[in-house]
Amino acid sequence: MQQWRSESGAMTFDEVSMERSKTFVKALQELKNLRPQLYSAAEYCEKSYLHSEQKQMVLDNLKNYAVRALVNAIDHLGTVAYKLTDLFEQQMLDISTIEMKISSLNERTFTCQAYVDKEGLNQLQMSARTSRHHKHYILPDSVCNDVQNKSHIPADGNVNPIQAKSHSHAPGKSTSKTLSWHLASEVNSASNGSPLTAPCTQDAKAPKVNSEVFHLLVAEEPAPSLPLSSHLRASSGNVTFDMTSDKFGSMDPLGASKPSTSKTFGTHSKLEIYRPHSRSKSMLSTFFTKNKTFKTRKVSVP
Amino acid sequence: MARAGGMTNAVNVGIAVQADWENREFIANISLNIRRLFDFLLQFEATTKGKLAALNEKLDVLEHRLQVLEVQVSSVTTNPSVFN
Repeated sequence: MQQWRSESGAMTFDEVSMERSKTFVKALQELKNLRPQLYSAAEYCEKSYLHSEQKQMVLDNLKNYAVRALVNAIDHLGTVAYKLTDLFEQQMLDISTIEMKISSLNERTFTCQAYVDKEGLNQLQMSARTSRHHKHYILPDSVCNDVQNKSHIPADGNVNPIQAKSHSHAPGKSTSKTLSWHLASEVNSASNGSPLTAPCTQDAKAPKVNSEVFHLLVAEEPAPSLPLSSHLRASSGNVTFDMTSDKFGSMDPLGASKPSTSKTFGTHSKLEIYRPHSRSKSMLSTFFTKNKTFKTRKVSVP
Repeated sequence: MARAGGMTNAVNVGIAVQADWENREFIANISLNIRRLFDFLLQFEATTKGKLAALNEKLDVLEHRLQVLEVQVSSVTTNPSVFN
């Protein structure tokens, strides 16, 4: 095989394989041609032994020819076997090379498929991540800044427990405020003089309206009126009822015109949080559409 | 004379027998070698058949793998948007 490659160095791989197959075919043809030659030689020897007088010489010649013919046949057969084996080994080598190439292609396809599957999985995971919802309601920064400007921390020591809870949060967290914080801020803003201002109001006119209402309330009722915080404290049970019973009646413009007595207070007097109609929806109402009942909710005094 | 003739006949018979034995030996050797050649041919045929069968099986496997690869590549070429 190496001799073939050295002799035909300029030949291509296909040409070398063609040459190899040609030699095999030639050797096989020669082996096939041996059969009629041996048949003709056997007939000639038989005729000459029968018709010739020197039978011993014919016999000796026949023996020599038989030996040489047998050696020749074995030689041809060996050549054919060698050529066939060489051809078979070359074919096996080619097939193993092709198998390696196919395996590499397979590996490439598997790699590509794995990559595609991974990318698809990542995309699905990303889409799954985007659909998550946060536990707390988070307000945007602009709204929270407005709330911070409007809300004021009371100077006195009487701090609403709700406020205490809210202020326990880190002051630096301006980006996200919890619901409890907004509730506390709303209450705080109410106690400071704008009783019904929401923590974050989208309508700029609402605070003005609230102040006007407050003044109206003050003008209608000559009796001094306590701030809303006191009422809330009463609702929480921190202040005695006797002190605030009269004031309750004075602060209720929509309710009974007469000042309420302790009797009515004892019989489940209720504190109504007044909200003017002209006032726009508070931030809380925008988030809690169901809390319309909260507006008119009546705080029962224990 | 008769005895000499008899002796020559015995010698000739002896020679003939010897020659016959030689011929038979020669024929036996030839036939033995032909039988060995025949056995070699049978063995060669069996091994070649086995090797060709293995080669055929390998070729079938490679053909199937190539068909699978061809289908995969054709699917990719027909639907490139899936992989974009």
